[in-house]
Order: sequence, then C-alpha cells, then structure tokens
Amino acid sequence: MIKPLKLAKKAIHHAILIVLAALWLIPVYAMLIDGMKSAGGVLTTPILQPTGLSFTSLIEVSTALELPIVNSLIISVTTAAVSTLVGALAAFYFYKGRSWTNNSVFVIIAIATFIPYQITLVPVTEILSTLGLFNTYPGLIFTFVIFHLPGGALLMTIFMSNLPKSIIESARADGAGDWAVFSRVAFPLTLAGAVSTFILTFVEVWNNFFIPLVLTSTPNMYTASISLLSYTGGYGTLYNDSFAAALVASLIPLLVFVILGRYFMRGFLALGSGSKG
Amino acid sequence: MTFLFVVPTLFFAGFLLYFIVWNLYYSFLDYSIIHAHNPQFAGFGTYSSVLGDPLFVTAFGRTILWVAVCLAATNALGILIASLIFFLDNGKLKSIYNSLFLYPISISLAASAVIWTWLYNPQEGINSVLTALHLPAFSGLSSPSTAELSLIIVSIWIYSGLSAIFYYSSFQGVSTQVIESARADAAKAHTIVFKILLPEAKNAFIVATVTIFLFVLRMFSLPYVATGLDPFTMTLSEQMFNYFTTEFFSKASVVSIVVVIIAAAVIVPYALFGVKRWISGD
Repeated sequence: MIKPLKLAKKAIHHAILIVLAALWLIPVYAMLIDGMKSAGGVLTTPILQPTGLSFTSLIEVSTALELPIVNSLIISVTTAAVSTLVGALAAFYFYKGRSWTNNSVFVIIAIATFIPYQITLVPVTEILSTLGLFNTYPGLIFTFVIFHLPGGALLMTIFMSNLPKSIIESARADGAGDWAVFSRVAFPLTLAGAVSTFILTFVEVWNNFFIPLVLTSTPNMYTASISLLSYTGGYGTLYNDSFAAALVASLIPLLVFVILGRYFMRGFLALGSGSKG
Repeated sequence: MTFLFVVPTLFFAGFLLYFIVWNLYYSFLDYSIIHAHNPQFAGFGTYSSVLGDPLFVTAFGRTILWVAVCLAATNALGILIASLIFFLDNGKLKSIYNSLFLYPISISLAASAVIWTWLYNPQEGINSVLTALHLPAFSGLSSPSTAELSLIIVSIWIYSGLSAIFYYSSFQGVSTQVIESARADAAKAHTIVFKILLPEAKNAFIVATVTIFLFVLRMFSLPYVATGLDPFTMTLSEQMFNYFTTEFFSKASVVSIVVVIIAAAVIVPYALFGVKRWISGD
C-alpha cells in the first residue's frame, strides 16, 4: 500500500519540476528553432512550431553584429579585469585589519555596490563630453569601472575573508611586506573567488544596455545589447532575424553561464549569504 | 601603508558620491533646453513640477507596483522551486535544475525583451498554442491593459531562479538530522518546508528581496526595448531618460534623487546588516 503511494508522490514531484523547467526553457527553445528558420518557414509556421533548418538568418545577423560583439568583449573584459584586480587590492586592506576606519570604508563600498547606475545619466554625460571621452572605449570603460569596482571589492573581500589569518601571519613572520603577502599569498589563494568576481562582472557589463545607450552615438561604438534595438520586430519584419540576433548577442554570456555556472552561482551566493555561502 | 591598497577603489567610488551631489545640485536648478546657458536656482520648483507631472506620477506608481508584484511572485516561486529541488535525491539533478532556473539572468534584458515581444505576438506567439487548445487569447503587449502585466511576467521569469538559489542555499544549511527525524515522524513535505526550512531562511528572504527590489527599481531596458517610451509601460528610469532626451536636465536629476532616496532606504540598512555577515570569516 505504501510503496505505490510513494511512487506516485515521486512522479508528481518530478512532473511539477519538469513542467516548470519546460516553461522556463521556452525562450531558449524559441531562440534556437526560430533563429534557424528560413523566411519561408517564418511565413508558414508560428513561433513555437519547428520546421526545417536554415542558417541564412544566423549568418546574416552574425555578420551585422560582429563589430558590436567585439566592442562588448573589449569593454566587458577590461572592466571585469580592472574590477577584480583593483577590487582584490581593496579586499586585502579590509582583510588585514578590523578598525573603525576600516569598517566605515567597507560600508561605503558596500553601499556604492548597490546604487542604481541610472542616476548618473546627466552628470556622466557632461563629464565625458567635457573630457572628450563621449562615445569612446575609455569613456565607457571608465564609467563601467565606477559602477563595478565597488562590487568587485565587496565580492573579493567576502572571498578573502575565508582565508585563515594564520597563513598571512606566517608569511609576515618570514619578513614579507604587504605587497609580497598580497601577490604571493592572499591573491593566489583567492583565485577561485577572483574567477567568480570576473565572470559576474563580465556578464553584467556585457548585458548592460543603459550605459552604452546613453554614452554612444555612432554605430561603430554600439555594443551587442544596443544593437538588438534594430531587431525588435514590428510590421514587415520576419521573426527569424529577431531570434537569431537575440541568440548571437547572448551566446557568449550563455556559454560562460553553462561552462562556468558554478563560479557564477558562487558569486551571487557570496553576495547573499556571505563568505560561507 | 596598507591604506594605499584601497585608494584606487575609493577614487572610483568617489565619483559615485560626486554624481549624487551633482544631481542634488542640479535638481535645485531649472537647467533645461529653455535655460541651457544660464540655469537659475529654482529651489523646489523643479521638484514640484516633476511631482505634478502625470507622466512621472504614473511611472512612479507603476514602478512600485512592478516591484511589489515581482517580489511577491519571485519569493513564492523561489520557495517553491527551491523546495522541489531540495527534496530531490540526485545531487547532479539538483545542480542541473538550479542552473536551469537561473539561466535567464545571464541573458541581457534587451535580448529577453526581443524574445518575449515575439512570444507575446498576437498571432505568431504563445497565442497560436492557446488558440489551438481553444483557450482564450492573451493580448500581451498589444493591449494597454495587459502590457505591464506581460512585462512583469518576463521579470518574474528572469529573477525567480535567483531567489530560488538563495532559498536553496539556506535550506542546505538546515541540519539534516532535524529533517530526517521529521521524516521519520511521517511529516508531510509541506510541513517540513513551512515548519523547519522556512524559519531558517530569513536571510534568504532578505537577500532575495533586496537584490530583486534593486533590479526592478532600476528597470529600464526590458520595457524600453519591448515597447519604447510608451506611457502604458514607462518606469521611473525611463521617465528619467525621457526628461533627459527632451533636455529637461534638472527634471532628470530630480528623478535621480527620488531613485537614490528609495534605493538608499533599502541599501543603507542592508549594507550595515551585511557587514558582519560578509566579513565574518575566520
């Protein structure tokens, strides 16, 4: 009597998860089947119904998005590297000692991490125009670093606080200075945390839409997410181009997520549950 | 000397503070296309004209509603998903499901907007399935009465997985002994969730709520890419951008200050609460 009931419960448990998962995957399913639909397929089948494969749309869109993707790569990799490395330096300062100044600076950095970036709209445009950095790589990277460095410092502090203090103390006993302790001991031992910080920042910058929308003015500076504006659809457009564009623009962050998802998740959990997360 | 390590970070963080002060200063001027060359001190004049602008008032109300609905739904779905995953026996399956519900967060809001605009298409999208099943059609983005709801659903799809991993990791912190003994007493799964797991998940609730609150408060690209600056879906950030593109700079600064005040009311206590947790390592 008990066994069949248990089995039925188990089946329901799995069925609910499978249905939810299927719902969650509809957008990816649509991106894959519709990004590879021919114009004829678009005219004869609705979005959720698959039909023969065609790479025309995907190839066309990839060519059009080549420069924006290169731009996104340059901007996101640089911002993520700076935020992780410079953030690690700050983390070392927080790691070394607990004092009143130390804690206050940390609270400021933590608050800065969560300030909505949209509020810089007017001042940042004015500053970059004055400096002649509007619509340039340095201008975009500078702005992104302002927003992501505090987060990088916060994350690296969380990861570094997991290091036993004894390791640092023994290095110091050997006569190593701050820089040597940081570069030879503290940073190498938080490498996994650095990877999480880098990936999280990379994906956030890659996906950012608002900052490049405001700070770029010519198509040669557009990023992948901005370029999607030309594929939003509307009368007379075929949906295969829209899905192909969404796929091409999301491919790199999606691959990062699939391959390095563990680090990605650890970053979010660290921000949430603290160093033990 | 160790202080030098934090100087570069403080240098950049200083800009953030500068931006806020800048906005505060400009919010008290009447800087706009009309007064481009000699903006005058306007006191609270710009504030009262923004707060009296029906577009701002609706955008404000809509953003708050969006935050409220999205928080309720993502917390509820997060708990549901986390519990369903928690009670699986297979570790590999657990991590696959965790990633599966989290993946939308790795896609840009702009790409999600492009995808969902088409999924909501009255003829080609989800409606084609609903019609085939003889179910009532959903007007999606094409009708002002459902446009906002449609976008809120997309944001729920994006953020529920995030809330789920916070809850899931809290659940994992609960002692297995307690759960096993409850099971031995033939406790039902929902009893374990509500009586044992959730009371231990206060931290997950705070973190999920604050994080998603901040994501939705600054919501811009999802409605912007899906519908443009549409009065039926416009959020606070879009209204700020709207003032900016029409060159009412001081008005845009006023909206910035409103957003900063709302955000700070959440961020400051959260950061103070977080300090101990974030750096309470060995």
